[in-house]
Amino acid sequence: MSTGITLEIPAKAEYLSLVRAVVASAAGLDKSLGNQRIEDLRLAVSEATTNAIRAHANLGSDERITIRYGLENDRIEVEVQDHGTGFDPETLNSAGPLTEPGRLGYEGGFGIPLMRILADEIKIHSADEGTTVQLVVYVSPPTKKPPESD
Amino acid sequence: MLGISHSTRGQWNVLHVMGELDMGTGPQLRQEIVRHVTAGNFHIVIDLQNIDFIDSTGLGILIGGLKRARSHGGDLRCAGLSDHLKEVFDLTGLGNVFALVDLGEEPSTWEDIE
Repeated sequence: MSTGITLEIPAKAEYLSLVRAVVASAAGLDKSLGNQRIEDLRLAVSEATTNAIRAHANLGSDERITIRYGLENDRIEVEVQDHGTGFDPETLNSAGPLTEPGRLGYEGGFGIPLMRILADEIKIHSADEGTTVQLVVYVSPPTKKPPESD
Repeated sequence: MLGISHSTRGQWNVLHVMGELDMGTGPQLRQEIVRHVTAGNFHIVIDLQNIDFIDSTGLGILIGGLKRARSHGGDLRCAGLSDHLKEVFDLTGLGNVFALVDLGEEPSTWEDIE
């Protein structure tokens, strides 16, 4: 992303609200993105940032988390980058659907599935030095009004 | 910030939650649910009408509360969902787990909801 907004936040939960506000405000500048899609993006980015904060907390890391927001052509891209220990995203869907017996005993496991549903694209690159989650939401072109007839 | 106030409707204890429910504020709600269950109030409604935002941490806390209430023969239900929150409930499957109640209706009409 060559243009856009970059936030560097302390890995603390009290900054989540700020991240959400910035992302929602920036996305709202594009009038073609409906409120529902803005809400979807806001939630997806919040989930990614929450995971990043947890990753730093697990390490006891004081490093900052980076959130990059960019609008290019027909897509909004948001990257959330942490410096945690990384994880294998393919192993995270093991909690199973809520209809499975015993699933209610586990409160977690919704974050990444939610991101996958809410974003139009998601890429997770995770390695020993940290994780970058890239979320993409497509911006629909504005609907053209039919020409008025005389 | 999360604001929580309390009222009763028949046997139901209604927790009116205001603000944003996430990793930072969620523990407040969990603590409040635990406090009620520990006090013997096993029928709980979470009023989400004035919630501006809820994430997976918040959803997890609702699930934990539901499990806790049901383990004592009670239930935890939700009220006041926005359209977006209804969508999130449906996407995650929570729409099939939580009974929704209308706080504008008499509690006697909630009893048979399963």
